[in-house]
Amino acid sequence: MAFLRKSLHICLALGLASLLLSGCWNRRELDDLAIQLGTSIDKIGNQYRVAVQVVIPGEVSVRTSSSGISPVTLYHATAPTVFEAFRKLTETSSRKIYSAHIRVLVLGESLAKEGIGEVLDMFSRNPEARTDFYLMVARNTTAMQVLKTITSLEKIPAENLFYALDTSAKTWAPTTTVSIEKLIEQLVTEGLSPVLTGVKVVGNAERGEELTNIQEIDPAARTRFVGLAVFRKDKLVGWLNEEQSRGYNYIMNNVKSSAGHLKCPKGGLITLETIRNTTHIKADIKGGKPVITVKLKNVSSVSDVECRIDLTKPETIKRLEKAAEERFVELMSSAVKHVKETYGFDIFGFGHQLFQAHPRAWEQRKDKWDEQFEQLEVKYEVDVQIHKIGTTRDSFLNYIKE
Amino acid sequence: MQAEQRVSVRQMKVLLIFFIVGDLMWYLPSYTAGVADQDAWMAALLGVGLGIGVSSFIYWFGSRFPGMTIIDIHRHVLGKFAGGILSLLFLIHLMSNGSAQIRVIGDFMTTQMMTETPLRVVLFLFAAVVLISVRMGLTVIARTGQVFFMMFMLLFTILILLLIPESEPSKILPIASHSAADIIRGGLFVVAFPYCQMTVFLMLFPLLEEERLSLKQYMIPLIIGGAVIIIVVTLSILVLGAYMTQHQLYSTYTMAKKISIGNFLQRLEAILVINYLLSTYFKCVITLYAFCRGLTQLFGLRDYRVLTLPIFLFIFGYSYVISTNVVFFNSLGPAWALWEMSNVIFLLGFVYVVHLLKGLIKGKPLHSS
Repeated sequence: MAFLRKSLHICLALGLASLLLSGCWNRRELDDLAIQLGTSIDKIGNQYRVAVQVVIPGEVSVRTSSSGISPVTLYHATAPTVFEAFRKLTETSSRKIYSAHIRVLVLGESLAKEGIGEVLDMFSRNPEARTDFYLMVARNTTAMQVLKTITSLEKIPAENLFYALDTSAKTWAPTTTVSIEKLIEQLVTEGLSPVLTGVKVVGNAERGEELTNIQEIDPAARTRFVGLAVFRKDKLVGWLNEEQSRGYNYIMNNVKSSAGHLKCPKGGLITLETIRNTTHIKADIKGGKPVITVKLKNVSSVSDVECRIDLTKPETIKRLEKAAEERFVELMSSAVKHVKETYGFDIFGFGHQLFQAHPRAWEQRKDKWDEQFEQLEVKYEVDVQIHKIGTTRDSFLNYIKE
Repeated sequence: MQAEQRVSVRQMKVLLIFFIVGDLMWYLPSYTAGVADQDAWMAALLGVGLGIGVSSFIYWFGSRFPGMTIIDIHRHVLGKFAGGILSLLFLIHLMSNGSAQIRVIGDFMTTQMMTETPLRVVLFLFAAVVLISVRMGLTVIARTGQVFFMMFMLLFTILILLLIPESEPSKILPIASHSAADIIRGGLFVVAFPYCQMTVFLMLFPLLEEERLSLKQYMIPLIIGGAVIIIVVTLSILVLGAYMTQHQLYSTYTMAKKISIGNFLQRLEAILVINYLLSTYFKCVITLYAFCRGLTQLFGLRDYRVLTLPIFLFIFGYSYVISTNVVFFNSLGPAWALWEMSNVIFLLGFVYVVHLLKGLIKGKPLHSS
């Protein structure tokens, strides 16, 4: 009896141990997955065309030399809903698409005009996908075309788009990054309309699809970020040009570093580099009317002198600071003016600022905020400080012999 | 055998903290932000204040009847039959709480981490772990609590520290834009969820090694647990904003996903989830331990251990059928909160009033003579 009991215990222990050997319930091996890096969604009639850029692991690994085939491949499928289209991709793909490493989501311009809200839900609902990818709108082209353009420095075009936008947003004022969480938050926030960066294919788009594109030093086709797409609710209504985008990003405190030129008194241009920039928006009620004050604090340095100007005198720096302040006011006010006149709704979140500062005043005004926004008084308080002028004192331009 | 299962005051404190933090991480930020938006932190503050009051009442009620569990108290005050019915209500409440806590874990795992795993597998494994712990007895549970307590606090501190850079102070604005009614409604969730549930401890207080827990010793874990609640709700608002806190099924998980220190220290959510699982596990173990002990006492059995296997099977099944889907389960929240509050009012308040009246009726002839 004791023997029977003992052997029963051993069997039980072994049986339990076998549970440990099985591993994950729904494990997926790396070679069963197609790693999706870029995604594009276009609207074709009533259906969504989803294209997915999938990396070919052998082609991007460092050790093995490239065998001359494309480092990525593109699968696309068309279906009535986005998630269906994703699953339908397996009609052409040999592996299940694994979406956790998605870097960019490119939305087609026609889709953006009809409304992007419906396609976004899947990305925030799906537990697999991470939310740190960037969104952009394809301008004058389909979203799929953007993903088809081969790039050279980053072997994977989706990575190229991601890092290009990331770097550009950090060092160049007219571009900005928008993640899906930020976009959804902007879509649900009252008194704020979202914007997205636009991307277009410049050059010969058809040649850009071929591998020969990157055999040239100056590729026949590249992707390029151009301006910001303005959304009304979730529908694309227009674009901001470079100057307006710059103004928008300064107001929204999106600028980390940038460069901008000023006119010298005696002709020619001088370039200031923005080192640090912070913008605060303050909303007040004055005389029963909302007044917005945009407070910009900017630290710049002189980085390029292309005119005759005496940089040895402290007054010159004072004058430059003053000119830069005027330039910032002009940038921001022209962006606000353009948006007021052309679109007539609030993309700067002034309404949201009013809500945060004076919730009761906002309650009274929120239903007719569009009209209020057109009449809104916006004040600018700009403080530019120039601390450094680089490594040289006065420009040699002043001393070039006659 | 049961008499051996005793805990020290120190261990009781640890269990109290685990119980208060418990499963609140899963749903409390969403519930409070659901009614009070960005003022949820005020609701949490108010709720913790009121909640400490309510749980002091629970403590005070227990100390009126030294050495008695709530089952004993009901029998003592109301007699075998009426007291038994109240005790049965109390036990049904414990059982439902335990099952719901297991279900919360099951729903979370199958939603966020292992989407293709059947819910029943997760429920079975978690219920098994919980009931094995219950079978081991309170001494073992309390010592386990002590072992894990440092890790729990460490992970929680890491969570807070790493989330501070992600928080945006402007998300809390405008302050106090909601009416007092909304803030109180949000606060009542906090009162109901960890604090009203503390009636469970009326089963455990008589098991203390020392004579009894002083009010001061009881207050410290309440305040620490309350601080955790306030910090989690406030962080959730600061990091995610009111909209995301309301609309994410598991906002604390989404919040942990946001951690990114220099694009290097990130994707820690799976590690931090251990923390949420740990506190839920302890809450569940305490609840079901009290359930087993209560059942044994009510029916006059000798040892609760014989019950653990049937109770395990029952809890596993109940946690599966308690709700047909995740939407229904989440919609239970407000009703469940009312249930918790009415438990305190009827099972404790009503019983104490009856006890007082009995004393008056019995006392009167004594005084007159």
